[in-house]
Order: sequence, then structure tokens, then C-alpha cells
Amino acid sequence: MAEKNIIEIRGIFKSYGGQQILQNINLNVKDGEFLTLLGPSGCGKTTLLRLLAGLEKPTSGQILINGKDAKDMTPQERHVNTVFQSYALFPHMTVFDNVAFGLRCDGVTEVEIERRVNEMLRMVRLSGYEQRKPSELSGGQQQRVAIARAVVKEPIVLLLDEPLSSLDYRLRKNMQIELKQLQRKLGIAFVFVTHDQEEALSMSDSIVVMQQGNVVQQGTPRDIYETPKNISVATFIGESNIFDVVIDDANDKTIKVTVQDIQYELENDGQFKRGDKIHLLIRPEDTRVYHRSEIDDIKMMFPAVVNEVIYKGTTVDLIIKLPDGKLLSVTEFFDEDNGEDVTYVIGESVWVNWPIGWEVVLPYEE
Amino acid sequence: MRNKFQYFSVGLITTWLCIFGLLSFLVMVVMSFLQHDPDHIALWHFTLQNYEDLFDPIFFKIFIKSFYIAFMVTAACLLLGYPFAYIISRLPERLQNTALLLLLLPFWTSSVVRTYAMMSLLKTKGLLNTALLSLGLIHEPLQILFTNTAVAIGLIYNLLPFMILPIYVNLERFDISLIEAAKDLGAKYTTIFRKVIIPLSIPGIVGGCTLVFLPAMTLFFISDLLGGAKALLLGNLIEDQFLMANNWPRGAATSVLLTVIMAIGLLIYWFKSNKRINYDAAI
Repeated sequence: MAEKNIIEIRGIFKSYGGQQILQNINLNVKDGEFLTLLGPSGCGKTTLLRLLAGLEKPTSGQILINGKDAKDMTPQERHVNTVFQSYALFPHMTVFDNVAFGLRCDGVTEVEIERRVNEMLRMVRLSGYEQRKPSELSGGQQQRVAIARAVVKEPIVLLLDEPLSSLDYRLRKNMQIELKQLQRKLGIAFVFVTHDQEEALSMSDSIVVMQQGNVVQQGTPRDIYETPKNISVATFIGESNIFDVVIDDANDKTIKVTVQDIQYELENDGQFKRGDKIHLLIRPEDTRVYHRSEIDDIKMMFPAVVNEVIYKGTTVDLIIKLPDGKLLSVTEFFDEDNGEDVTYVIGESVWVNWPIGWEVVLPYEE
Repeated sequence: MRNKFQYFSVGLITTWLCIFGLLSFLVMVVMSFLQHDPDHIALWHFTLQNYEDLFDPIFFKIFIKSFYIAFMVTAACLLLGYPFAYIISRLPERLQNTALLLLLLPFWTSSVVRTYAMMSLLKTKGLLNTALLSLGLIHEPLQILFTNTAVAIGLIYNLLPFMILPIYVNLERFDISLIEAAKDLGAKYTTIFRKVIIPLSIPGIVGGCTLVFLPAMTLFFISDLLGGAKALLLGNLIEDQFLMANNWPRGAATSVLLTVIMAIGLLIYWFKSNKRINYDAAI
């Protein structure tokens, strides 16, 4: 995959009527990558996308597209197209005319338009629907028209503003796969905006986590999930069990903390000192639960009571209650080879631990 | 509870329209086929004479002229009203309400009073001529009052809001993302206007034109006051037949013909657009 930066965002600020929406955004989009802007609503991700599309102007800062300043570019020079959240299909035009609209604006000949639109519609599996109006299509089909309409212009970057949010669960899953396949086939960069962390994790090459107008962290889905930079990223991406503790003792290599009256020795990768307050994070799937009868050696284990059992098909999710009343989430996978009994009953007493080293230690934040 | 209220209000309006709309229209239709009699309202005797009378060249001329004035007034209202409606619909919400209030404020006064005011503006020594003379733009007063121009000005003034409001309602609900999508696809502003905004506001335009065209042919008091004896609208013709000539059957026939012509116009639109007329947009 080419490592060239197709878009460079340098020190972008954006404010509306005195309200800061984006603060000092620096970001690169590489050629051919699937980049996701992820964050809760109001974090500025859609504004950033609109800046890239040229629908808004930054208050200050610079956007380079293909190495050139995008400030005074016409849409034709930008080669960036958008799939809108509501699809924004022209309701009075047929599917064919919708897809042909952008080409007609560029003055492409009708013969060429006919060829490219038909090819595009074949690609999104809408051949035969040319003469339908958008209102005669299902949500998923409308979505594909919107994609075809943008992609037919052969952009170097395709922007997608929460394109799957109005589809139902099954259709959304299918469209995720389709979008990913389309992106590989086209080989162009996708900038995808979503607030759905699962969608971001499953589709992206690179995730940019945004909060309150700032980029908090950028990395591969795995980086973001396994080594979140701060507690808000960690809690936004996936579920976590969090213990707020004070470091009992520390050296360059290790820290000692007490969780549920047991002292653990953990790796010190954040230059933590004795007396520092930290968040100790354990993902539900890393939290291990054992039946009382399974365990002889209860050293480094703490007790809990099963509070809730949620059968999910491939997993069993438990909510367990610690003696101090704190609730933890646990995800147990069915593992038929192992023969481990994952049948739990509410009220059952269990032992809990986690594989040391799989935890995440983050500095304490209010 | 809500259901009862719905039945009640729909029922009330239906009854009202049946009695004062449908029933009186049917009376007119029946009347238009009855024989004229100077001593009675009409004679109970079927005839097509009233409709044959309408093919008289004099009536025909009034018809054509009235259509011509109404057409010009509607076109002028559309040209003036569309940009106005578009601009209001793009204002911040608070300013929108203020603009609409200002638009409707003059209509809290009776339109007869406003038409008299229009007379004093347009007359030979009126405000308009005085202003133009003192600015040196003209050297002798313009003769506007008691011409077709005066009637047209009066009609446009009175009917403009009926053009603006339906178009405004349509444009106010216009999905901005369609404009952004067009921009994103490389459309110039003129293209966006021609290919996206205008086609999608057709229901509002048709609504506005319908609300302007018919009154523009029938608002007889405006032509009475501003047009003098010279300008005669279809409305004046109907009024004269009922009140002056005391020929109710022929007046009824004139009215029915007008209704039929308007209905044909709407039906053509209805079949062409192959969908229901957007009554929403025509409030």
C-alpha cells in the first residue's frame, strides 16, 4: 500500500459564533487507506469531514489535498466526494440521473456518462434499477446509489458521513462488508465518520478518536483497543472494568497496587511513582471467572457473586458483584475443546482473576 | 378522545364545505342552465342559451383580456415572490418570523382601504408622481390611475403574499443536504438552482400560482377602484350580470365556465406530475 499522504490537515481550528468546534487538528490520510473518525456526537468529526469536502472553511489552518492547498479549490479540483448521512439523493431524478449528475456537471459526453454510470451501477449491484426513483428503493439500495453517485466521479478520497446509521442491524453488517470490499476494489482512501466503535474497529485501517474538538488518539484498531491513550478513549472503545487505585510502591520496571485486598505487581510502562493515582483497566473478555469447585489455589484471586447471566449465543456475559458492591462485566467464550463449564447461576459464589500483563494502566483523570 | 375530536373537526369542515362550497356551486351550475327572466331570478326551464351568450365576441374579449392580466400578474408575483420566499427561507429562524410578520402586517387592514390608499399613491398629484417629479425623473405626471397598469399594480400588491407563502413553506422545508450534495458533485450555483431547487419547489410554485391566478381574474373591487370604467376583469363581468343586468343565469354560467377552466388547468398539472397535488405546500 502506498504510504503517500493524500490529505494533510495542518493546525485546523474551526469555530461557529464564538464556540470552538475543532482545536488544532493535525492529521494525515494515506493513499488507499480506510480511515475512521470516531467519537461521540458533537465531537467535531462531521465538521472535520465537511472541511475536507469543502462545504465549510476552516477558521485557521491549512488542508493540503495531493500536496496542494485546498483553500481555493473548486469541487472539480478537489477530487473529493461525499456520501451524506441522509444520502441526499435527488428525489425528482431517476437512479441513472442521480449517478450521472456529477459527470454532467463536469461536461462528460453522454456516451461516456452512459458507460460509466452503467458500470458503476453494476458494481453496486443496481443494474436494472436505472429508471427507478429513489423513493422506490429500499434503504440499502438508496445507500448504494449514494455511494455510486460519489464514486463514479473517481475521487481520490471518498468521504462517508455516518452512512450506515439509518440502516437496521443486519443490513448494516452487510453494508460494512460491502463498503470494505468496495474500498479494496477501488483502491482509494475512505474517510469514514461514525460514533459506532464496533463499526470503526471492524472496518478501519486507522482510527482517529476525537473528543470535544480534539484528536485524542490515532492508531490501528488493535492499538486503540489494546493500548488506549487515556481513560476516555478506553471507556469509549469497548467495555472495561475499571479500578481506581493508588500505587503502593514503584520502581522503573514495576508498580505494586492493591485490588480487592490483594497486592499485584504490574509492569510500569508509564513512569508511575509511588503514591500516583491510576486507573487499572481490565476488559470483560480478559476477566476470568471460576466456579468455587474448580479452584484449589485461591492465591491472587478475589471472590464475587454472580449477579446476572446473559446468554449471547457465542458468549456468556456475566455481571458479577464484588464484596464492596462494585459490579464487573465478564465475557466468557464457549470453548468446547477446553471443556470448561461456563454455566453459571445467579447468586453463585465465584473466584475472579485476570492474566497479569493484560491489564491497561492509565493515569488517573477526574 | 383524540379520535372523537378528529371526527368532529373533519366533520365540521366537511359539512361547512358541503353547504357553502359544494351546494352553492351546484345551485350555480343548475342556475346556469335556467332561462333568464327579468321579473324573477330565473325561469325553471332548461336552456343552453347562457353558455351560447358567452361566445359573444364582447364576452370573449373580456375573457381574453382578463386572462392576460391574470397571467401577467401571476408571472410578476412569481418573479417577485420566488426570490423573496427563497431569501426568507434561508434566514435564521428568528428573522424568518419577523420577515413573515412584516409581510403580513399590511393585511391586517381591509384590502378595500388599502386599495383606496393605492389610489391616492397613484393619482396624478399623488405621492408617486410628486416624488418622481421632485427627483427630476419625469417632467409631467404619469397617468397611471384608471389604466390596466394600475389594476395590475393593485392586484400584484394584494396577491403577492399568496404567492410567497406557499413557496416559502416549500423552500423552508427544503433539504439543505441536497444543495450540498450537488455542490459536492461539482455543480455551479446556477445548475443547482435550475436542476435541483426549482424542480423540487414546483409544488409550491403551482400552489402559489393557483392562489394568485383565480383572484387576479375576479377581484372586481380592485379593477372598479383602480381601473375606472376602462378595465374590466372577469370578476366585474360576473358582478355586473348579477347586480346590474340582473341576469343571474348568465352570471352563473360565466362563473361555472371560469371554474371549469381552472379545474382543467389543475387536472393537466395533476396528470403531468402523476401524483397528488401538494396541498401541504399550498396551505
